Amino acid sequence: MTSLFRQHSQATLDDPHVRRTLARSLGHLRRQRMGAFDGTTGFHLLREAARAVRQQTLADLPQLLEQLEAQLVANGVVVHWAEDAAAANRYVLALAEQAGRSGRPGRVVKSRSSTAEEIGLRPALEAAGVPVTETQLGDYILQLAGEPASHPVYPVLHKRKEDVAALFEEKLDMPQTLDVQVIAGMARFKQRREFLQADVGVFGVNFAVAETGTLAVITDGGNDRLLGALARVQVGLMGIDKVVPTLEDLFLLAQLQVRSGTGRPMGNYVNLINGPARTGDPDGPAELHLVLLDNGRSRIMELGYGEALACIRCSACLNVCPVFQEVGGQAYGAAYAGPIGSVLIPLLPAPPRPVMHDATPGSGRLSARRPRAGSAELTGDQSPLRDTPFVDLPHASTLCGACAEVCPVGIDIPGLLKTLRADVRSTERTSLGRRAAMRVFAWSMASPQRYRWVTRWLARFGRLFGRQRARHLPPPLWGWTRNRDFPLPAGQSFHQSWAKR
Amino acid sequence: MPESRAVILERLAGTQVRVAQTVSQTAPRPAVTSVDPASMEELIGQFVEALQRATVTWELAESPVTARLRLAGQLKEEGVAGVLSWDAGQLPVDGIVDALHVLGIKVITPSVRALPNHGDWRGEYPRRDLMADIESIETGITGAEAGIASTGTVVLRSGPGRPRVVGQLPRRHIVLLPLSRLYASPEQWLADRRAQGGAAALAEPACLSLISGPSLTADIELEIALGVHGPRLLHVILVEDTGRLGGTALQVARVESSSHRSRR
Repeated sequence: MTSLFRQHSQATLDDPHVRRTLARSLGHLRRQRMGAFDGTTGFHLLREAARAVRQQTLADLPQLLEQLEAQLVANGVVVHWAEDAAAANRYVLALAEQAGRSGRPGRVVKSRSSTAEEIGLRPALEAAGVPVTETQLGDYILQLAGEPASHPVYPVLHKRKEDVAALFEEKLDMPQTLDVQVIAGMARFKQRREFLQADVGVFGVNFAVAETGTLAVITDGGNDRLLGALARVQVGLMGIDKVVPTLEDLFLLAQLQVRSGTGRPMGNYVNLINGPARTGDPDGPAELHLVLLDNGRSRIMELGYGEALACIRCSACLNVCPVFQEVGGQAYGAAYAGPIGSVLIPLLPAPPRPVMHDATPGSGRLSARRPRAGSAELTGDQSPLRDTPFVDLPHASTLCGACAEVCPVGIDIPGLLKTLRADVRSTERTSLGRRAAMRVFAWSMASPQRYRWVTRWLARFGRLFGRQRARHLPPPLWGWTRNRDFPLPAGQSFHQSWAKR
Repeated sequence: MPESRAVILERLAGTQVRVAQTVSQTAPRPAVTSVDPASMEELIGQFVEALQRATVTWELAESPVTARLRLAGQLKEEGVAGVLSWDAGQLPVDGIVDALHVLGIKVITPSVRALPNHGDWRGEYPRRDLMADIESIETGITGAEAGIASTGTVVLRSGPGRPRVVGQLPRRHIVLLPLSRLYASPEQWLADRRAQGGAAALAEPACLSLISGPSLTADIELEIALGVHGPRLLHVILVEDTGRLGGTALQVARVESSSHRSRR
């Protein structure tokens, strides 16, 4: 069984530097998050309110989107609805081409956007000959390195200072230094010219307020504000799930997002954009566009997984996930990662191109599935988890529940993972061996007598492999001992030892 | 495109999401931080504490005149040759631009949109020279619409005479904030704005920026580096204009000593 996730995880598992860096940084983020909710109204109260807002929003999604669109248009924003990644990319490409001069396309400068990553915007623009510059320091480093992001808030979480220093020397001809302040200064120096000659600014929208048509963009670097002042044409990208009803809702969700993700009370720059430059404004865009992206979200709603769309991308669930900490974000092979990524990635359309350079998608062999009770009637084509290379992601979890505990909008991520697992199983052709094994298991669990008998024999059988730990188990169980020893049964079952006392 | 809109909306219309409870659109959302300062001094104390946590420096001027004299004197002392600034009429303290002119400090209110060939500098020398001129200046002076104590935030509104680049291009951003515009929490500021002009007033400017610290990145090993895109130093000058602080140097000193003052 080839699995993308397994392949990609191995790279991280084999790299002690990456593992150490991830462990240290994620520990730091977890502690910061805990500190961020001291002295607040109380995490549980806030979460209940946030959850209610998000669920109501998803329930009212069509009306809210229409209200948002009407307000945006009234504010002078050009709204473009995009059904899929290709449509969104085409639209931004057309803007870039129009913004160019003398036959050359305009220069695109970007701030951070997971949505852009989801649709593969930068590769699509670059393939069409449009120069694109990433400006968030992490994204800038990844662009130089030719790597995908490993975390939605801190995209180079897996890299050490040494790695960045070597990269800057190689690609930018900068002297090596381990002083991050100096590294940031180099990036500032290199990027300033790009900002000043940007024709098109691309930014990710964190939230859009339906009542006012306000686009909220949250950063710490302020790159979006600088770009927002300078580029003549600007385009925001947002999934249709990012709408919020009111400004009060925005304030609640934005603060929860930032506190959960970074541990600080506010992003250093929270920009509330209400449209293109007004008459008399000294700077700001002449044209402001917004791409409202579906790309499988309405289908996720149809399939009954709407709860996952309540996600506000704070990344708290990634930071606490024991699996994420071991394998890092690149292993997930898509724009999202961690527990919520394991839910969203298999449900979203496969990325337009492999996100990892060595990715070989297409290993999934799923086709028709049974319609879910209570959900809309499904055709084979609508089934989730149809040919996706990400079928095993719902299993990339120990179901420990840490993600659900920290989620600021109260998404039951383990529950969604379990439903997804069941959905995957119901579509999968199970092998004869597995079915037989499951039948034996079910039989042995059906009565206490059978259970005792089976465990007694298993305990005895275990003695054949040695005293304490087995280094290798025979097929078909050998996969278990690939990365760890198998602790052997004590030679007698618990019931037997209990009876002896 | 119109078809995409119809397709997406139609698909959504047929879906259902489990809703735990219905949320009233008008019911107040819980405030994230429960702050309730008893006095002006306490409010200021909370504000400057939050500023310090975000490495923002601050000072308190007991009157607009003091603010003007101190700022101009400080810039002169530093030997600053030029600053970017909001238009004189947009700053909450009168006479600053004039005072800087008198001291021989050049004051520029840049208008990027007025520059020839907006967005292009390849071969366009007028724009390139203008931008180079603006870009080499390392201090920007702006006012602020509001200050928010619980998060240590200043709110800047875009508009005529209020370029956004003034706060973003230079390495130092100096904000003049009258104490009468200080609020306890983001929610209180929002409630006040709504009471004053409704949501429409909030959506009126092209951009409202809530700024809570200098330009920061923690992208590399979560180590903080400042000034990565914008200012490395954010400095807030609190200007007493309420009369509630007594306006005496003694009161000012009390606020300052109640909080550990950190200067650059």
